[in-house]
Amino acid sequence: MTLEMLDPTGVLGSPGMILALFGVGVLIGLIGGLFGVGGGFLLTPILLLEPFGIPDHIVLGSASCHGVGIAATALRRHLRIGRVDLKLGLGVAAGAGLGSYCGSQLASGLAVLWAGDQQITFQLVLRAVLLVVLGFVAVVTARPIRPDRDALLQRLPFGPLRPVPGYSDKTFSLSGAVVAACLCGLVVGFLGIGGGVVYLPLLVVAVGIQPIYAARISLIVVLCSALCSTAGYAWRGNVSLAIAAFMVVGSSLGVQAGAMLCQRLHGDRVRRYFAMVVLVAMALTAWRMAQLLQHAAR
Amino acid sequence: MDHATRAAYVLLCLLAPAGWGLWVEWVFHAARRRRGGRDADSPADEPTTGPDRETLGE
Repeated sequence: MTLEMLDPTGVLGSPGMILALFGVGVLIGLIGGLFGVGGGFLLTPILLLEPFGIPDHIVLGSASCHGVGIAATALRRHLRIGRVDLKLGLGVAAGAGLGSYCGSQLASGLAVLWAGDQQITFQLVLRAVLLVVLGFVAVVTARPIRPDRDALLQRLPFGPLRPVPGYSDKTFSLSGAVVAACLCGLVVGFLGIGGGVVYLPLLVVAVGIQPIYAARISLIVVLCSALCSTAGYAWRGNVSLAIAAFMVVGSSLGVQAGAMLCQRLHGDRVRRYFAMVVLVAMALTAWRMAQLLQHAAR
Repeated sequence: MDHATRAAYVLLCLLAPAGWGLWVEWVFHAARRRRGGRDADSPADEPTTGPDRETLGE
């Protein structure tokens, strides 16, 4: 294994870059601990900014690799508490994992297909998809989801039907949930994000699981999804372990501080701040997209 | 790059961040227990993922 494999962008030779990546890691960890998210939805837009100068496909792979560390930490805490529905989680995780792997292969393949002169096409497509996903997260944040009505997958007649956690009289289509998780995984893997902000609404809105149970199940789904997309990116040589390592170290410390801060904030305020973070991520992505369009027009 | 090297690299990319994350969590958990304050495993200490619970109407 060569140094070029571990550090394809030469980060180890630049102390400023190491410090910046560590700082980004701390920030993402802080936000993750504060809002109970992995932070991948913010990490990818930040790393895609011009000052970092990291190729897009390396950003996606490294962000995905960072997500593995964060998801493993969160799942470990939940397993210690012992309240994760492993059976259901693994079923949905299988679909999400398959989708994420395909998403990582799609992104890696498009990066090769649109290399050179057409690189800007890949950059614009990637940011457009990211903007759509962030818009979805913004809508979910702005409009509280009420899981009291029959969800879409509860009305789907395709078996096997499984009881909805938290309800004794409701069932949902497991095959439908796996297919939906696979589709979500495709987007998550394509963007190199952890995907908690996508899987949790899927479990709550589409499956109709109560948020408290859905949050636990989504941890297994997120970890499986991150593992599969990282494997896909790494196999194609698109993961910079050096970039991921500095960020994971930073975020593993930041998340502890964020969790402590979270206990001091009122729920309403946390929600407002989360919405602001999503808007910042959208603004960063839109700004970089405008820069690229301007560059393409020249 | 041969397949064995590639497979080793994939394994490293999966195990290194997960291992680090688990180790840090173990260290902080042990520190919380040593401090003897609030129970480190209490449900109030649970992390979540995705938009916060209140957002989702809980």
